[in-house]
Amino acid sequence: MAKTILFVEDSASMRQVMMTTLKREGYDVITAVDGQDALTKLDGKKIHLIISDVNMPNMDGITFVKKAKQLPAYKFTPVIMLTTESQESKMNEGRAAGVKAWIVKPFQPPHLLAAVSQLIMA
Amino acid sequence: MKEQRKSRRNDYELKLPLLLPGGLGALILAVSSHFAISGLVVSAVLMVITVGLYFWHQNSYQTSLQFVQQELSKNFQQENEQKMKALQQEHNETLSRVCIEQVQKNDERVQILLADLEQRFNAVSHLSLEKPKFAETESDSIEARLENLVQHFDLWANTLSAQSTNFENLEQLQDNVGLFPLCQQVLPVWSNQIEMAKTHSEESVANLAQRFDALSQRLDAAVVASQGTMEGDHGSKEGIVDLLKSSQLELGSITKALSASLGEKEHLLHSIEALSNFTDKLSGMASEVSNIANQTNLLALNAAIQSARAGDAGHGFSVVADEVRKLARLSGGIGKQINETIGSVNDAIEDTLLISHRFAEQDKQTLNKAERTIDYVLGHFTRAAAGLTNSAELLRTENTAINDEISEVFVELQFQDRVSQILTLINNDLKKLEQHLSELEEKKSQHGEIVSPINTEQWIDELTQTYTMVEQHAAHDGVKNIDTQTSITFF
Repeated sequence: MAKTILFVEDSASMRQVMMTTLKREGYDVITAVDGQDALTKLDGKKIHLIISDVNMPNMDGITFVKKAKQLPAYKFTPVIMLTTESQESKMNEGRAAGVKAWIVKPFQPPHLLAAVSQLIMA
Repeated sequence: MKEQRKSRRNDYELKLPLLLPGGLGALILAVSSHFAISGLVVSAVLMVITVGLYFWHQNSYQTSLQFVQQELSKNFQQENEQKMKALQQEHNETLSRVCIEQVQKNDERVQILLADLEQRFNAVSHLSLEKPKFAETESDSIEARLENLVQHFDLWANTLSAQSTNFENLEQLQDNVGLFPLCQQVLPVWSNQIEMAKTHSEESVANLAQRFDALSQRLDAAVVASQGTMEGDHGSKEGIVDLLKSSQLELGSITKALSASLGEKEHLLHSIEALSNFTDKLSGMASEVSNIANQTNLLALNAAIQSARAGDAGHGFSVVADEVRKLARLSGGIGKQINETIGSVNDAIEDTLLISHRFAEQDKQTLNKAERTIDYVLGHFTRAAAGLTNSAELLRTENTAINDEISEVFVELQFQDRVSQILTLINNDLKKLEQHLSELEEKKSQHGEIVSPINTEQWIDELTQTYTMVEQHAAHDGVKNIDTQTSITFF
């Protein structure tokens, strides 16, 4: 059975690129345009991994992760942050929120897929 | 005196351990010889005394050592204090000298600054504003000159306050230049243009990514179809290679069947040829029958002649002879007919043999031709299949390469996200400027407040704090080429 990944990103082009990359590897992908939309999309669904941007309108990625981790169904769901942010302070903030990996854009599809596979299998 | 006594006592204590063992040894020897105590007991007593003395001496030695150390440290401390006092005095003198020099320099600088300030005030007073009156008598002291300058400041403050209308006129002048209203109108336009460019690029790049994905999927489908044609779906026996192999086997079995049929025909021909031998024998047998019929006829004729000689007695015999002759003639006729029939059969067999030989030859040629044609066609098919296999392999390799290229394209397409972020930031800053100008305009028009200039440094600082990417900082500092590299950090 295909694993489901939630991808939260405000850029339409990034959503398309990520959807293509993940679907070609056989993953089911749910997309959301910001943190608030992502919380609505979760809706108790079985999600194996969350990939999220940091800087987004309405609700940023870190806040979304904190809120998602408060929900019992997603307490142990691994999270990857995919962002242009590379500041140590932001990374520490993400780590404190429960993020498992921090990828600085632009991502290389093989590297991202390796990280995804590693975290889903863990 | 007390210390000298203590020192002398220490000397005495140091010498005592050397004197005591000798005196005690002599005393014990005298006692032992008097009371006849054994040498062993005496030795033990001496040993105990010696050990006791050893520890006592050790203690005395350490006490003396401590005394020497205390004396030495006291001497060193006194020397150090004297040296420190001398150094401190020297330092204070140097410091005082430097301070005096510094004060003199500062005094000179203050004098220069005061002169400069006076010059500036005088220069400003020559402008259109009313010239404040300087004190006629100026003291040479700094305090007096500073006081005078403070008075000048107050005078100027009052004059500036009175001339505030002039500043309003200056703002009016700025408005007349048109920068303020231009900014108010052009900034939203710029903002809209940037937003539109961002939206366009985002949509286009998303479509581009979608099209690349579709391209990749179609290529994958083509490769799968080609692979299915060549090798069959999921390794089934429906591929062209397997079809060729099975066709070759089936055609081979047909040619084998044809060859076997040809062999059967040859066998039939041999059988027919064997039949022809039988007809020869039959012909011989028919000839024998004819000969027997002739001889029987001759015999019957002789019998008729002899019966005729016998007269009436031979009449019955003559009838039998006639009947035998009739039978002999009949037999001869039948033999002849058999012979003729055998001839006809023989002719028919020969004709059949001839035709069969001809057919067999034709079949052989047809079989050879069929085998050659099958080999030729199969060879063609095999070569075509090999070509198709190579094409399929090439297609698969190319598909892998194209997919890799598309992956790289996807990496490059992510530039749009970065561009979008940069444009968003610029747009936000433009909106902020527009809002700021609107607020200034409102303040000026509604409350008549004097507009203070924008704090450029603070503005730039706030802008810098909104940067999220390394290249934004680099571009801010005027660096053009920045290598953006991806990185993954696991927590």
